[in-house]
Amino acid sequence: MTAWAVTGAGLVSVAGSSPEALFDAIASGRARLTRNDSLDVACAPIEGFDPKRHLDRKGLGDLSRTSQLACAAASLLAPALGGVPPAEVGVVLGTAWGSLKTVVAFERAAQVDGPRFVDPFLFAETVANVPAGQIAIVFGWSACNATVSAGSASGLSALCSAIDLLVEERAQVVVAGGADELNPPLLMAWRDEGRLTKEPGSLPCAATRSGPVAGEGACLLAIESLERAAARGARPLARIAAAGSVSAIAGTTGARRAVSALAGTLLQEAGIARDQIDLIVLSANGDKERDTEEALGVMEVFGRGDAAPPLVAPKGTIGETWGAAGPLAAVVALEAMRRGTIPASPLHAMLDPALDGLRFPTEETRGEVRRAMILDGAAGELIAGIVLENGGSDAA
Amino acid sequence: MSPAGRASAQRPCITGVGLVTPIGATLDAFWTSLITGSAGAAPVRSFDTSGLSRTIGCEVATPIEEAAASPIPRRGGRCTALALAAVERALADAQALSYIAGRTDAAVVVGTTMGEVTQFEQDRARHPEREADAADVSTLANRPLDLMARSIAAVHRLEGRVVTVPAACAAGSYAIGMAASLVARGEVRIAIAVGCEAFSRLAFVGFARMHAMSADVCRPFSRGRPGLLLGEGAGAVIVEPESAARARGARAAAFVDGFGLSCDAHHVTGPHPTGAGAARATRDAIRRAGLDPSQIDYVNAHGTGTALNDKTESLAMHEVFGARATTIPISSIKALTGHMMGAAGAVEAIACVLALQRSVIPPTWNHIESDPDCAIDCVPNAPREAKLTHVVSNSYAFGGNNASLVLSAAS
Repeated sequence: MTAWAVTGAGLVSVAGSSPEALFDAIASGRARLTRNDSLDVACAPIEGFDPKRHLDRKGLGDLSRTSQLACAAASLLAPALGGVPPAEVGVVLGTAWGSLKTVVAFERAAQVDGPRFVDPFLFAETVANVPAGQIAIVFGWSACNATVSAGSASGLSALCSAIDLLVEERAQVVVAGGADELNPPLLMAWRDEGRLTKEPGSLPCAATRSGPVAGEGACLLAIESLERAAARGARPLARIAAAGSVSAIAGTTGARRAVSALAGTLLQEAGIARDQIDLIVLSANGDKERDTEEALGVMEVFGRGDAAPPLVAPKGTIGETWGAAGPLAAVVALEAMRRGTIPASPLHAMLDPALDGLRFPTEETRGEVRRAMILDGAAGELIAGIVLENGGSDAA
Repeated sequence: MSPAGRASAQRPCITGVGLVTPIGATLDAFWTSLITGSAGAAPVRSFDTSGLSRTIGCEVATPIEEAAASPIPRRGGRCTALALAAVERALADAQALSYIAGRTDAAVVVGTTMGEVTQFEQDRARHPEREADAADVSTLANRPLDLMARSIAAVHRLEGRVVTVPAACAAGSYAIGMAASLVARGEVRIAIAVGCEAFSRLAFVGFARMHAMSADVCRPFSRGRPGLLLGEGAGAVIVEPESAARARGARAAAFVDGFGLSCDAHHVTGPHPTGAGAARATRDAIRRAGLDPSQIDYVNAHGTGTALNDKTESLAMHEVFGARATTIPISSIKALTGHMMGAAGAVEAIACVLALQRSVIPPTWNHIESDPDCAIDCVPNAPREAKLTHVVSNSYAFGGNNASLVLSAAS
């Protein structure tokens, strides 16, 4: 059976544009969540993001922010694909929203300026698969190209689809991950419905949490077989020991049951016991119900307190980044593996009593991080997950 | 994917199809329109076209409420309703309504371009003079791209894999291909694949601004063709492993033997000028079906009716079929249905299934004069009887996304 490896990562986040910067921000316990006073909502925008810092290409300013973020992440990943012909590289991008801002801007231009004066390029950017297409155009990655959408599980779903494409031998390497932009329309709409918090201090699983903080970003991973990685001299960052998703949509399956079922399935697929997971990266984002359901599902499988693996909740630092969230969480796990460090979390001191038993480390832990499970998704959506295993080449 | 002609327990077969289109919401009505040339084109009713340079489109005339037996989930709009209606018909056709309910080994794969954007447009149309506010945008923010897939999963209580592929105008083919792949790999016991699209002002204005739309008639592959007409609709197919279908007494309508993908990586809206990407997708699908191009009996073209698409698709078919490209039947049904965007690939695959079953090739209607740039046999203006065993259906999209399916006769 073929083993799949992660051989590169590229990311753009509010906490920086490298795995090191992202991990450091989480390890430092300094959230990058702020307030947008004019919109009266908490958020985590990537201030000063300029795609020209990443790409020397004309026309970047015409792209939607989602396309810009995705292309910037791809540019940071591209060096990891040395030696792979562009025609052998596929792309799968997960996005929950595409570019709502562009949709609203196009509609506005058609109304105010008139249909004859709208920018046709703006129209193209309203279409959700265009960011993935832009990546292909910029880098020539033409083996196959797909976009998937599944709420905050979009990014992990993209990783699952990437493995499907590799199993089917549609590409030598698939660049997969996700991207979503932060924009005023989404902030306004969700704020008015009470689905976002106004408090930047609303942290996942905390007793005082009052909702998620909307963020943005892009994160792409290079995925290929261990065999091919070895053949081209690429160093695997980790092996993908398991990947999958379950639906928590139908109502017959609560999110708690869906999380525990998925975690169980992933352990089975990876062929490991629950005590062989050294780190779990949660999807928790400050939403009361979502965090509770996930936490209970995780504790159902892994137990409570010191018997359970330590947890990290990156959305407490970077916000809910939807399509980017799962791949960014995977990068946190990769970096923990590389450093042999599990960061301390401020969440242990402010944990919701209803979630007593969740193990957010009180201090930084040094030691081998052999395997990590990454989860994302929520009730009413898809819940997706992967298991990464350190030392991809050894694990083969 | 299981190659044609090779025995495989996991060979994906289509056991049911359902659709809602501008030219019919039942299989018989749809087929009759295809072979009699009854077009769905009419003045646009969904929104006010005053001030727009184009006024004709292909909308679904059947009230959607009548088409869907299940209540539309709370946040669902027209696109969800179209998708649900097509799915119900497909499940009924497959006699799988009770078989699929509550299954954990069933997948839903949905393709769309714009999703539920029409709801937002309707809200905005109520007060065009002011900027969009949170109330307007909440219709979008509450209707994510995967709403249709979630709705189908909720209505039929499915707990397996749920995938949304917003692959624009190739989304319907992506959905069928991905569903068939899940079946072929043994990951699911049954899959619902859907392509769906509601008639949106956004797409209408966008394509008009790109000078891609005809003012009246769509004439694929015809010299001087004036462009595409936009359409809407939904197509759904039920895909199962042949062995599982047989075990429950279901009848195979056709097989999904090949699913080819490629990306132009060239231009965000325009095809590669040589058709190289499109050719790769078709060749890939034929190869994965275990076939040679000489074994393909018919190609259902993407055939939008734009100058560039039809020319490059013709070039692509020459690259795939060589000298045979001038004689193999290659037709487009978009002259009648319009370009249903996310629904197109699924509905056109269903047209292929019907063609395989009925041994008749649906023609390219509205053809006036052959175009030297499109040196193919586009089956102009009259259906053609033919024994069909293996057929190809092509779909191309923004972002350079290309997908081809190989469908094979059930007997």
